[in-house]
Amino acid sequence: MTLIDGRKGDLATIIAVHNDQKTKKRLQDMGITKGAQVKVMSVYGKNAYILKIRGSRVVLGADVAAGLEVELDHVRSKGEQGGREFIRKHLTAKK
Amino acid sequence: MNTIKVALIGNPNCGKTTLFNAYTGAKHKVGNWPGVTVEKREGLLHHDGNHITLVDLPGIYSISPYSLEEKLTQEYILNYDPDVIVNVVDASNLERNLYLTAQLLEMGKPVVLALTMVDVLEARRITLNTDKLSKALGVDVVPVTALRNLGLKNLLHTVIRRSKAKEVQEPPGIPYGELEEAIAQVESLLPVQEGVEERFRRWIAIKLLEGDGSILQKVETPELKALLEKLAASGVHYEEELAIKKYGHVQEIVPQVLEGDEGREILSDRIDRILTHELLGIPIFLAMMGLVFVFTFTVGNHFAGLMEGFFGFAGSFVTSRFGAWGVAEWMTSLVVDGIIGGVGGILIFLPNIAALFVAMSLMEDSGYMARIALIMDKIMRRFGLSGKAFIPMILGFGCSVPAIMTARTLEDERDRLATIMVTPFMSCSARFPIYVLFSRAFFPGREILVTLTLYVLGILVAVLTALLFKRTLAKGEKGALILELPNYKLPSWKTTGIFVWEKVRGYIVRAGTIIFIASIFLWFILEYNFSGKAEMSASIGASIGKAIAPAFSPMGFGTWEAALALLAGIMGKEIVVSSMAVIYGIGEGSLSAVLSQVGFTPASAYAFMVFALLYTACLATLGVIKKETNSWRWMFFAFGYQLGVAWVVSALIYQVIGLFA
Repeated sequence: MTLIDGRKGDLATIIAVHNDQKTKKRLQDMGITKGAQVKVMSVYGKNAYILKIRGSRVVLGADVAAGLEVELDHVRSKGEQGGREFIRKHLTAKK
Repeated sequence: MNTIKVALIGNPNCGKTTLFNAYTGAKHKVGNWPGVTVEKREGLLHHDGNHITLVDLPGIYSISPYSLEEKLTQEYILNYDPDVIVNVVDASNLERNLYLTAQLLEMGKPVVLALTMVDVLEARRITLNTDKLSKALGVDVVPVTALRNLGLKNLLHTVIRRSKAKEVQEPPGIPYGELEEAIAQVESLLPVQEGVEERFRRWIAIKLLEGDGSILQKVETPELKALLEKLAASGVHYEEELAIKKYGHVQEIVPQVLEGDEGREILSDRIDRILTHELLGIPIFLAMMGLVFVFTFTVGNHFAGLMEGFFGFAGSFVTSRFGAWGVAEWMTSLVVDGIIGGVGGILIFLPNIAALFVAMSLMEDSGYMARIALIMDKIMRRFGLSGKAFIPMILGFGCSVPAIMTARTLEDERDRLATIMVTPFMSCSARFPIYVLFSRAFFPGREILVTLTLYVLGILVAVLTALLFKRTLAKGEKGALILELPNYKLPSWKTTGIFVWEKVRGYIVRAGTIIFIASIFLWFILEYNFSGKAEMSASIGASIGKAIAPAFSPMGFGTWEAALALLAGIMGKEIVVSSMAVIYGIGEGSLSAVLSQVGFTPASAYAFMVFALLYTACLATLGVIKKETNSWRWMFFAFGYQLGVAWVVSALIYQVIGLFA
């Protein structure tokens, strides 16, 4: 799959970068390289992917995300998105 | 006594500028790097009897020949040969920051690591072992907290010691594994010449494998070229593989030096859940812009009133004093109408402009600006631009000149061109005085609303221009969106203060130079004609105004006074106001009151503001368009296009209002 199929909360490893040379270089600068692990923090308006990569937050447009071949590091559980996660994090008892 | 040259290098948002400001305060030189419009900041320090020149290089993610900033940094290191490189590293974003460090160390120059944001890390209950980091990298590591002045002296000591150390620093190199063979092959074919000394050879070989053309030019031999071509055809993507190895090296170091739970959700992530929320993002952004607007208006106006009082007083005081001293009437007129009227007419807006820049600086310093690009991306895409293009546009509310330079962050050439063309339509601070003046005179009580419509109109024309451009002249793919969202941080008063002071100082300097001279010149051409002193309506200025005034009659302000003021305004849009002040001679009394007596109606006043908003950007902006597009053609195109748009839109608005009124 490519990152474009990524959903909020996904943890994935990049297995290939198919973008053009210039984009590839910009991605390298941001730490997005073959073998790196990314977390999809959220998807904004279906066309921007907010990622956690090597400890920093990077936004990629859908066209860039489409060039990143990834492999999920986990099996998706159905409820682990959006509303449920928010409720779990914020409305359940605080430490 | 010799001077130690120190270069500050680091990622964008790593706290580099804050550190630079902590050392130099507002006492530094801001200039341009030769040949390019990248800002160069330089400061001189004295410490323990040493002179240190501190140079703040632009924020970069890596050293490579791709962007202007990166090229500049590489060339600076190679040609200017700094004694010590201070690599500013954001501890809260260690892995990505150390990627640049790895590249700097490879260059074989003395490096000292300045570790910022350690407090941010501590707040996340993570500790960083600086000794281990220092050992792993083979360089000195000094934690600094610029805002609380911690570690600053220590960093200077370390830098001085490093600059005087005899031994060459030998950081442990990055192991490139299976790529070593290719590196060795390239290294063996490097010519022996100046700049290719033993300790640089490995770095040069790596650079060549990465495909750095500017380095190749310097060392090219037929054999070397053949080898590089052979390697490139081998199916191994050296550039990518080298980068992976560098990250791999860094990835090994990071877990050794950091202790604590890195997986915890950090504050910035939590803030982002709200500020970049899919539904709330845009309303919050609009609310913030509204707040900026109201802040600029109300806070600014509060102080502007005081300044207006002061200049009014100065005018009448000089008139009465000069009268008592028997100073010639023309001299009084020059000082009161020309200088106090013109220059003072502009300086009273200083508080508004300072307020605007305070707001801008806060948005940028807090990290919110990058989020705006994300939030606006979806909308901007409809107009054919990426969300990143919105950052220059927002900065355009301050001043088009630096805003147009910021367009450089756009990867795509055509996106950049389109952004350069639309940015001047964003209503800059120099246009603000025009709105205040006219809306006060014709729309009392509704000044804020009227001014707001002009800002919105500017944005509207800008995005429509973008659409037009991307459909025609700058046709092409939508630029890729790749953007870092830095951690949110509390803006520092020092950073804001210095930023605002630079802008305010610039404004005062403009008032004292360009506007001062323009006012005197204007006063002169209004007082005289070729046969000597004349009535204003028979002066040179009036003749010039009369010649072009008919062009403005479809907009309802076809008077020579308005025409002349607009013409003068090409030097700088504030000059529209200072010119009117000189023309209508208001050393004392209010310009607003005069305007309605000289033929302006609410409709034509509004059309005038629209025209002033949209028409040809000032000379400084045209200059930067020329530089950034590197083309006279685009500059003249911008000039003509803006003039045409202004004329059409302004006339349209006047005529439509006429139909309903």
